Amino acid sequence: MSLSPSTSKMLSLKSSDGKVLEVEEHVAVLCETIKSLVEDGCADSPIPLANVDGATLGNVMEWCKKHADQKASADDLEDWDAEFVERDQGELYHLIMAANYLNIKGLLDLICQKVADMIKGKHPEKIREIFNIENDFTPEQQEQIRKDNSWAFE
Amino acid sequence: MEDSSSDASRVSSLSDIPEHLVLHILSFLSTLDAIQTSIVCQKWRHLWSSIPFLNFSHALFPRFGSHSETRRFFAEFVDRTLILRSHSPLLKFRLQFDYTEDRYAYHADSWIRYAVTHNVVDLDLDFSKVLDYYNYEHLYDDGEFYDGGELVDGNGGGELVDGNGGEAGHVDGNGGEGEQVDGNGGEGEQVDGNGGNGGEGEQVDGNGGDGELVDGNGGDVGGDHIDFNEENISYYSYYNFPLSVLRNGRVRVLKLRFCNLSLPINVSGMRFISLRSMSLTEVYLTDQIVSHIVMGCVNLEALFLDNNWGLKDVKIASSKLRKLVLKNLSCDEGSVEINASSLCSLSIEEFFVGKYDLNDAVSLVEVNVSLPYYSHWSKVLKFLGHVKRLTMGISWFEPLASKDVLPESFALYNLNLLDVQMEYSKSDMHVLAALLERSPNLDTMILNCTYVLRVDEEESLPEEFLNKPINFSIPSLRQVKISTFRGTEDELQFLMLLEKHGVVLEKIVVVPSKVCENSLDCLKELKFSEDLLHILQI
Repeated sequence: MSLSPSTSKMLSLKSSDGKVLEVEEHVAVLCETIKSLVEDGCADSPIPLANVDGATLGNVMEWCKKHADQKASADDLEDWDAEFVERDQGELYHLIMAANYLNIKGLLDLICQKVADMIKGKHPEKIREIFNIENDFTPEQQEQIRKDNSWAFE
Repeated sequence: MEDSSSDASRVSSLSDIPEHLVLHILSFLSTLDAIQTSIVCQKWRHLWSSIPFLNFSHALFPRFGSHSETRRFFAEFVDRTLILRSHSPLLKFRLQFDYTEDRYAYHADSWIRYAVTHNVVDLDLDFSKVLDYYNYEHLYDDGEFYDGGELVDGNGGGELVDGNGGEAGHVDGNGGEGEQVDGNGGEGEQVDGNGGNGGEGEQVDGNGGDGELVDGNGGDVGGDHIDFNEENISYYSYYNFPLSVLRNGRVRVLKLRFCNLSLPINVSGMRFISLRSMSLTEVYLTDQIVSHIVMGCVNLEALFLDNNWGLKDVKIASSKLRKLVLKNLSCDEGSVEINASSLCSLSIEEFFVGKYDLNDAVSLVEVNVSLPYYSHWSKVLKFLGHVKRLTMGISWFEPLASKDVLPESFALYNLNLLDVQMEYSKSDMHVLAALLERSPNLDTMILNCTYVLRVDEEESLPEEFLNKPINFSIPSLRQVKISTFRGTEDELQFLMLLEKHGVVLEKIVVVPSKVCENSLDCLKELKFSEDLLHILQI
């Protein structure tokens, strides 16, 4: 059995904007990056996480806490996750960057899936609109790509 | 971490995300969707060709005229994609392709070869029908009948192969498939034809030969079968997956659905070192093929067998296997024998055989048994002695009298977690009480209410059994979770019993059923403390 919540020791995490978060070790080690620090015995003082702001770190740890709960069933987690990803784009991108930096595969996949779902089945014009991407093709280029890839564009 | 671009605080739009993460996002799209993003902006133009995942879905592919035409376009689409993608590394290859016509054997073979030579790790191939196609389209599409004819004949081509039949170890087996495609009796030869291909294994040429024949005769037969209805589709061909293609690859996870599987002729010499997990669903297998796979895949850690036809006496012997799932077989004269010293997790779901043997299972900690007949369940009891986590249904179809539920010597000393499917009926409660009595160290219990449609057999139980008071012995139980709570009288009584008998009970979590809105009202009557009773709203 792994560490039970009541006996788990606490770790301090320090965000890029200087906020310190106290987190139970068994929760924090869902981040592979933190886990390796713990395993190397380098997790004493507040662990500085220079690339994650405080608000995002809070969100990440909320996710870790839920997923560290051994009593949560797969169904619970799925429902919970579905709610967790209901956020604005900015927050989603911050979560992607943080999950990548902290090396949390489950969270990275979850958020990337969410963004992919926003792309799925949409016309390029719509995708540009949703994600505020500039169309930097000339009309000629665009025609050319369509022609080259006609096999994929019907 | 390593570069300033990954500083999360500066990211406000998708364009700020580093390329490798955009690739990761795109990898969750089907390959068709991913290619269509190339026209969004310059930066994305060539991204699709570097995505390490390929995901081709015939079911989600746009329709072009008849299904045969759609199938042709789909195959061309896959061909083109693989050519243009060139040599980017590949991790996962998923294909869902309504195979049906043998002429696509070439294509499928080459796709799989592409994946394996690009060092794919995860190979997921599903050749099942796109059911949607067969529901209504035939009503509007005359051209299909002709196609159907071709198909029939394609299989007819198989007869030729069947002529060489000796090597076709699968011939009979495909007879089995015939059963699956029920009511197609008259088309027996076609099924055999398939068998021929099955036996052929990697000999792609054999299939090619069939293809030529198809063209030769297509017209006539098409004529004959002009009244064919797609509903009666009986001219399925099955793709024949040649396991030998994996021999020098890196595939760790293989999933196959709705196809045949052919082993190399020289089975005894085969060693598939890379494979760790294999899942075979609706794949024709013989007992021998299963044994050979387990023997040849020397590092196999997980095996899933689901709804495979052709099995009878399944023997699985492996010292590496850690997880085994057996699902959906009905063969009362059959048996299963497992010798697996590393097996941790075993699942037996609707897998009915006359005899279950498990030897050497010193590592087994997790068992899932879903056998709705007590007569079967009682045969796997002996597996459970040391398990820590047990998932099972106890609403058996046969009425039970209490003394027969568990043999006297039976005990679950290590059981820590019990996950039960039940109905809260009187007989279920007695079974549960009997289980709990034998599980002195149970810490957590999860209850899922299932309403099984069964005759009301409780009436046939002896009076004294039904009236016997239910006592729970739960000295170590700390947590209980009740899913799909409906607020019935039976459930409330159960809760009261729990509270009454719980020695160290700390927490009861109730998840109300979505269909019963008022299920929570009755909980108030119980007057449980807030610390004990938690309600989880989803």
